Amino acid sequence: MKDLNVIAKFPEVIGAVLSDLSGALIDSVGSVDGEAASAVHSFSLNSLCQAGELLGLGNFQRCSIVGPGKACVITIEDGDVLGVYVDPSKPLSAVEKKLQDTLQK
Amino acid sequence: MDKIFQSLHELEGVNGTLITDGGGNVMAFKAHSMYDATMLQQVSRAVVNALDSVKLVQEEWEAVTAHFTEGRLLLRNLSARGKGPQLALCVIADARLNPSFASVAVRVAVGKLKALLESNGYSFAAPSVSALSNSSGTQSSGQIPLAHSAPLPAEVASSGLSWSGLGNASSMSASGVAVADADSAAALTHCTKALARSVGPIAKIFVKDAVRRVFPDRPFSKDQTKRLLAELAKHIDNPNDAAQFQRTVLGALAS
Repeated sequence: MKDLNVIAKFPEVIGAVLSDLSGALIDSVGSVDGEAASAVHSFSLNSLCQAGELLGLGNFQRCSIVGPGKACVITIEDGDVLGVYVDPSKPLSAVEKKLQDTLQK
Repeated sequence: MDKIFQSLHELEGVNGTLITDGGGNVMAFKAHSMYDATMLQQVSRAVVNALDSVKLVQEEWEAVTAHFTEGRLLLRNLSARGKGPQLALCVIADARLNPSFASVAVRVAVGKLKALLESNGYSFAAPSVSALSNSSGTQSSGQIPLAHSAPLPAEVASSGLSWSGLGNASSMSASGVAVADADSAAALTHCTKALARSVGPIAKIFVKDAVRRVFPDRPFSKDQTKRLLAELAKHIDNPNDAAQFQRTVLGALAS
């Protein structure tokens, strides 16, 4: 897993949370409640995977959550759950691309 | 509402749309027949679990988009702030979906659905089911509080497939597959649903192709299922999964 600080340096990113699949917090940076977010990320991801499996959509890759106050991208990286919080005024797709490129390096 | 759903289904790759309430009940849906009402109800519950969780950190969520290797799940909040029930639109799409087109179409649909729901007081059709096959026999739809629903028409609701040649052994069905009787149609349904767990939505195509190829000169009959399963199992790379697929279908047919 990449150092969270690398991701936190993106100008659009306001915080990032790394947790394991059971929701236990591993690391967090920025203005995010890491403990609360890590459990939510893992539980949400688990439920979405369940829906995807029922529908035959294949393996989970990532999900984005957008609201007026914040936006978040959740992905699985090396078996851990990474949630990246982004300024919602910035285009999320650009951040997703940048994040994907960074994680693949 | 059906027109709004239909507009979404005109997007390439969209295979299903549904509206779920805060309790995980499917309030309305339009979906490819591979996604039957029972499955959509399970999906709805999983989606609502995810959304309930998301709301813990993001109460005013607007959109959740889940990317999978073979498709996407687009969730949009239909609830009006401070009034009306919790409702969400769920769009099920395969990998052919164009994200840009989908973004526009879904935004339009959400606007129309919100206006429609507000104007009719957030009421859905009575529990009478309007799950129907369309002219091509490949989709079902309905507005159904499933928690209280009456039994769905068997062919569409419980099969997940509309083998419309049902009961007419002498002619090919609209789907291009003739079946001998209702049990045979049910057997094809089991095959398709079980295969879809391994190969995804293309399972129905594989089943149709296999039936036409292996039994070209007579309607498919339930007692030919083992032969069909052996053919279909070739689409599953993992031998253990392939064996499990055959056991699952045979077990379902025996029970």
